[in-house]
Amino acid sequence: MMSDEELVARSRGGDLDSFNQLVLRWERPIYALAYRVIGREEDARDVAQETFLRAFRALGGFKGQAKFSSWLYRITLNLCRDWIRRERRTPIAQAPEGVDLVDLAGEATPAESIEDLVSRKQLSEAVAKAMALLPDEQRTAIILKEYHGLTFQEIADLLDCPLSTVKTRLYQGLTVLRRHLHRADEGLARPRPADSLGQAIRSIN
Amino acid sequence: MCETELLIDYLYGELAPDERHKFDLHLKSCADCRREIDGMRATRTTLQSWAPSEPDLSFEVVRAPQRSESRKWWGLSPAWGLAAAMLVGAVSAAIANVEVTIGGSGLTVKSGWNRNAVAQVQESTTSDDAAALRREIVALSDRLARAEGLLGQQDTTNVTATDPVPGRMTDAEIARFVRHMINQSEERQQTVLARQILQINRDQETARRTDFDRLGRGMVEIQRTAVETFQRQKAIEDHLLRVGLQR
Repeated sequence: MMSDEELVARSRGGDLDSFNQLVLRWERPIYALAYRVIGREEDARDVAQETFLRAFRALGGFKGQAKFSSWLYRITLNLCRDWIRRERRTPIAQAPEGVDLVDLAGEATPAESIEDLVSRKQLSEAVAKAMALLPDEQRTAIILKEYHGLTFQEIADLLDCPLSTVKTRLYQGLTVLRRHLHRADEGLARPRPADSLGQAIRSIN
Repeated sequence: MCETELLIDYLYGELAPDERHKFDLHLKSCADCRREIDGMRATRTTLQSWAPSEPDLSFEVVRAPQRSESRKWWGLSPAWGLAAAMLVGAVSAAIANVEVTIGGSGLTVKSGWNRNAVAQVQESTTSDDAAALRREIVALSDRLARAEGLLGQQDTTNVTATDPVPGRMTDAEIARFVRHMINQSEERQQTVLARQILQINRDQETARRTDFDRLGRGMVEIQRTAVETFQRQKAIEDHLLRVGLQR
């Protein structure tokens, strides 16, 4: 399999298929980043699409000074920031859409019961809500670290801030999340089947 | 390095081995730090349960065909573009031939369809219209020639006879004929223009209907999908209810 750098070089030479291979490789992570930052499925999809269009147009200016993925992440984060400014709102006011139980059911392991599924859905929603409470810069740092596995230095470069600021944001963000999720965890610790079932049905309705 | 940074480095496994070892030793004797690290680890584990939805992405960058930008923007059938282009053409021709005069009768604004616009309009008329126009012009030319011949005869016969001022009637008659021809030509051009505008309107209407039909079909498809989704959710709800009742 060709590396990102090889595909970028070919794309710069006008090979559209190579660029579309990069799109295929990165569309999910880019969408996931946009989704977690802005919390809205449709808008995240638009941001992801726009990211690749901009990347394609600006490919001539990409000299390989950073990893291709970091470059994509930067475009996505800029678009997300524009979205938040334009919409004059952040996900703080609105909890992101949770994961659909139908989607979860599709990827459930055979050993997983409906209670487990319901519990997973509730936990996912609890995390989404807790993340929405964080200030943008803390949320972005946590998303890049926890879900995209970037190093502290890569995050610092992307967010144009010192290494120590990245660590502080992570610490502060995790502290807030811990407080909120601990409460949610207590509620979910041992869900009684009847309760979780009732909640699941209510959430579907 | 401050305590916060040290803790984060340790949590994410980015401490150098000797520093890590020192921190491990510290944790054994410090219950507060142990609690902090355990709590953070548990939070990190919980964070992994946040899965984004997985819509169908399948993005693909394709080379745009020529003028696809405007097509994509409007999302309309080419007839619209053609009609619009034609409309713009007609309007610009009219503007290009506007004549503004200030005379004894005040300010006069007149679009000169009978001058350079004629060629442009004729180009875009149908062949029937063009043929009719040609016939009309030939007929008018014949009539003018006949009139000139008649007047010429009058001139020669009347030079020394009845009319003391031979050229006066002839000039008036020629002027009348010329005015008549110009008027007829202008009327004809206006008819052709009206017909063109009507045709453009019809084309636009057809294109609009086509687009509305397409939209309608799209709406039906969306409704169908919505119903299917609802049925799927209903099935799951029923299943959950059944499971609930069994327990």
